[in-house]
Amino acid sequence: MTTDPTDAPGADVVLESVSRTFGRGDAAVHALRDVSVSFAPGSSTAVWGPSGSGKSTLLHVVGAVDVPTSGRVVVGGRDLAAMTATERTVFRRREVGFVFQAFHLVPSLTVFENAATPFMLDGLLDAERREMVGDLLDRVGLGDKLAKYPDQLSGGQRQRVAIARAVVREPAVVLADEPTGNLDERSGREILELLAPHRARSPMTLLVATHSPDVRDWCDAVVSVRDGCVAPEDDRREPPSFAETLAEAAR
Amino acid sequence: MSGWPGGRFGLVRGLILGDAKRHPLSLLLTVLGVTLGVAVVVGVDTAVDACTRGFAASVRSIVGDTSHRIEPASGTMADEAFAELRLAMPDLLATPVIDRRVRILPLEGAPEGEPTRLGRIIGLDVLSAADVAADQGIEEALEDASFQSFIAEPGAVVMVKPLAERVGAEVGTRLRVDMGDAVRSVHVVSIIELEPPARSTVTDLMVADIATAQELFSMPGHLDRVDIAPRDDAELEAVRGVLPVGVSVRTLDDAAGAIEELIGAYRLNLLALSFMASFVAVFIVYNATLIGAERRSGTLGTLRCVGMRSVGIAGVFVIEAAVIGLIGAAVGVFAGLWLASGLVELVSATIGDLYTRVNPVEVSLSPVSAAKAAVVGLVSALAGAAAPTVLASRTPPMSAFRATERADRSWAWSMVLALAAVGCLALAWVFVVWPQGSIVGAFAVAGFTATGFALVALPATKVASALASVLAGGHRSGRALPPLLAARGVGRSIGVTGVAVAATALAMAMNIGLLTMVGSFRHAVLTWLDGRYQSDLYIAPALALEHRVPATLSPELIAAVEAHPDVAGPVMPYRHVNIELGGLPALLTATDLRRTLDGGLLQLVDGDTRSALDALDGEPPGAATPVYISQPLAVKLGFRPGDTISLPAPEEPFPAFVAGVYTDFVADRGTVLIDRTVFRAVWHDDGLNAAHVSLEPHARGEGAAARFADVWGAEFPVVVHDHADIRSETKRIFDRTFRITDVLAWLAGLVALFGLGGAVLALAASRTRELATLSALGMSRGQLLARSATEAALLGLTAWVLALIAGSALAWILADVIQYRSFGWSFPLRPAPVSWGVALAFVVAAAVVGGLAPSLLVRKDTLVRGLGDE
Repeated sequence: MTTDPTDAPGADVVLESVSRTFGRGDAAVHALRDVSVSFAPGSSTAVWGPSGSGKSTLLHVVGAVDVPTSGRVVVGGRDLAAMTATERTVFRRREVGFVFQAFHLVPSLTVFENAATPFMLDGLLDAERREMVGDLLDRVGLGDKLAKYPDQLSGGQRQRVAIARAVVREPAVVLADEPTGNLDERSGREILELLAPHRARSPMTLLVATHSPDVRDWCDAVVSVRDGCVAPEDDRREPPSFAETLAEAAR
Repeated sequence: MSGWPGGRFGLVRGLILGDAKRHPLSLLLTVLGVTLGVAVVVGVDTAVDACTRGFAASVRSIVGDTSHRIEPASGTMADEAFAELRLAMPDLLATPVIDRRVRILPLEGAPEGEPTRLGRIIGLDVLSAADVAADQGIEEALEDASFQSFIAEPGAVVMVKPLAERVGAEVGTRLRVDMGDAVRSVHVVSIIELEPPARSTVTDLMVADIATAQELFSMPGHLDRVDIAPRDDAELEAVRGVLPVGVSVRTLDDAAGAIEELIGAYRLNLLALSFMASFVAVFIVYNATLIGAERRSGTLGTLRCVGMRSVGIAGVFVIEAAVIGLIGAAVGVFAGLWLASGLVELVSATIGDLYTRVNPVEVSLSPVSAAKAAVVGLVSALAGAAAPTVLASRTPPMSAFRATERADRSWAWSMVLALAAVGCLALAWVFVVWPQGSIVGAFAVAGFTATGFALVALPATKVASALASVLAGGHRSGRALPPLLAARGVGRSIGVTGVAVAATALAMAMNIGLLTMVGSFRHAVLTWLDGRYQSDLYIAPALALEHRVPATLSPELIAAVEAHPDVAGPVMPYRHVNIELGGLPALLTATDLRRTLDGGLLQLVDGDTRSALDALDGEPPGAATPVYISQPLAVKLGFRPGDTISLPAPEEPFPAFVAGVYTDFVADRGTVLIDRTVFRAVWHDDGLNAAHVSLEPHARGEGAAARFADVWGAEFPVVVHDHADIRSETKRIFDRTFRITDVLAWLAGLVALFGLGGAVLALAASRTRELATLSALGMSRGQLLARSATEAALLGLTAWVLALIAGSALAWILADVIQYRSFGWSFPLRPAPVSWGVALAFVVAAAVVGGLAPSLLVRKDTLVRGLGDE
């Protein structure tokens, strides 16, 4: 029997000199460069920066989806680098919730099954948890769409399912990568409002990669990432304009 | 392609090459599928072609300028016919010919176990042959210093160099040669090299003077045929005018082409089987194109949005399919040639066993075969790509391949396909019950049945997926997530999975059908053999048994056998003569009909023994001669008991009545069984091709055959067998005949395995993001493997169940429709559980490939890349 981590408090997240490089030689891309940063348990932090700055990579290494090229990532006192691949899989399943910009729902599973996936992976979907999943989907406004498939939902509805999936097991860390990026302003705000009550119930540590000022302002803290580096202070400058990005690319 | 203009074609090129670079393994498996399909067709075609060309070459190259043959209706012709022809037409270019195969025994002092070699002696009239066969180098050989000895010396022969090298002969060597009824000595007076192309095709020839040949073959005053070269039609007509009764003129084209007629059904069967692999390849290309279209759906939708016309989209897939088809054809040609070099021995051995001896020429690619390969490759690729291409090009831009629409449509499509399947099976049944069923109709039955089952594969897969979903979803704890994902995944990608099931089911059905048919046939043959061969010993010329060449037993041998104190009564005689009946080649077998009927040696399928026995007793007085017709002949010519037939006898057509139809598996060209007393009187032929011997009780038992072989084999070139020998020899020939069938069935299976493997790999590749998402959510590698393996197993099991049903149907069609109409054989079917196991092994193999697919695809960085939005 596996340990149900629903009582786990929000975990502190510590990155020590973390670098992540893709490719080699001239083709090498330094997504993260010697990043050292920590996130307090139960806090919500906006990882703020323009496209390609390394926000997603930072979330990936915290969520054990990716392994740093160098440095240490410690979540809830556990060094991810010391984990085996199997341990990292179990860590992701039980202690991390993911929300992606493109939703990433499993198209062949219904709304209910998608939200219940974290339990199903551990074979823990008993009657009590079925009810829990049903209640959660009801709270996010999808109580009447449990048997629908993702491609029968709107973008906002899909993201609600993704959020339900991320928080249903009340993980220690929730990582949201541009969760409102594919949604209009109103839907985006609704998504954020959905996260709030869950945070109130369960002290999860929330990291949100975003370049939306709304999302940034909604979070407790901000960590700015530019060119793979974390800015020394709270850098709330607006991301560069399209023209600036083009000029940067040309350089 | 680099020379294409960079505009529209550049875009098409980019779409094709870009996808090929990103998914090389899928592309490779698709091309391999087409390659194997083409290779099997080219391999079989080229192998059969090498055999028929070998036969034609052996007919043509000896005779130089001759264009026609004068031949007896059966047996030999008297040489007075040639003399009369000479007298009537002194200017006609003509030579009398004796043309026979012989067995050359190893030289004195040769190492133990040295095999006997097959040779061919052609007896010619030296003077007239010099005119007729001027361009073969024989003339020069005859003008050599050895001419005198060639004419005058008994047993003198001129030998071609390749044969001399094989048997180790030099000028002056004396060789012991088995003529069939006796071993005689021949003297090599000259060794010659023929002119091309005969040099490479005629490698077993000895030429003798006609008188020498008559002496060697104990046929004084007789010829096998007369080769002539009439200068024009008038001269040919004049020849016809002076010919005696019982002989006729055939063109050499007829003689060379006779093999085509003889082996027509066999060739058609092989070709039909070979096309099965291409049929399976069509499904593979279909799948690859559909998956490719799905993979590029976003790009295609975008291109449609920015104004690319549907014909442009279609062009992408048509060009892609054509390139795959042509590459498959090009590689398939070479693979086919390689395959042909392996198959040619099997094919020639089978043709030798069933029809006539052929020496295949070297396997080479003819322009026709190359064109066939290109057509097969292109057609299978384009046919496979057609439906997905139409689907891709017609879908409105924004909904291009949206999963929901596909899922919604798949049930509707399943219903349509199920109805189409019923239609196909109904059409197959129409061809079964069609009154004048032809061989082509028989293949139409197989084709419609195979298509029907292929079409039913999609709805069947949909139903299987729905059932599996219910089973997996019913698990309340949720532990069944991998099987649930697998079942739903199969159902949602029905266009791909259903077609993969169709291809696999067809290939497995072919295996089951063929193994069931062959197993049943084998059992029927052995049962028939036990009924037919009830004597203690069987004596036949070694030449016939070792080299499948017709030969006769010496009368002295028969006398010696019947005089032996251990032999009970006279031998059961068998004489086989080639005849033509109703335009078909057949065998006239003369035997002791009364003993045959009394001994219950015939398994009658129609008719009785009473009328024949009465007629043999002369009741009523003047009753016509009874004959029994083998089932193959009765089926082909529509003979029934009571019918009167006309047999080609030397003097005039001989009437007989059909007393019955009997089961016979000796030759598909069919046999007419006649009483030997009548045969000897009408055909003036006392020869025997085989003798069945009954022993006194005390002489029976194990070792009898070896004992009597020592007695009679020492003096005559014969082989003495007992029942066990006949049984094992029959098994050997039977298994050799069907080995090529096995090879083809396995190749089709291999194609299907590529198809299933490719489909599962492509499915996994098209779900990279889903795999990455599940992995990010904490799905373990084991769970991912379990999901893929379950998916492949579900596909495989569906295909297996379908294959069991389709295979049984195909077995019935193969046995009762195709075999019956092609060869006239019928036999009861017996289940072949081994074939079910073999098919199940396919499922396991597919599940293993399917299970391993994600580990091949999910690399270290796949997770991160899979989660990306682009």
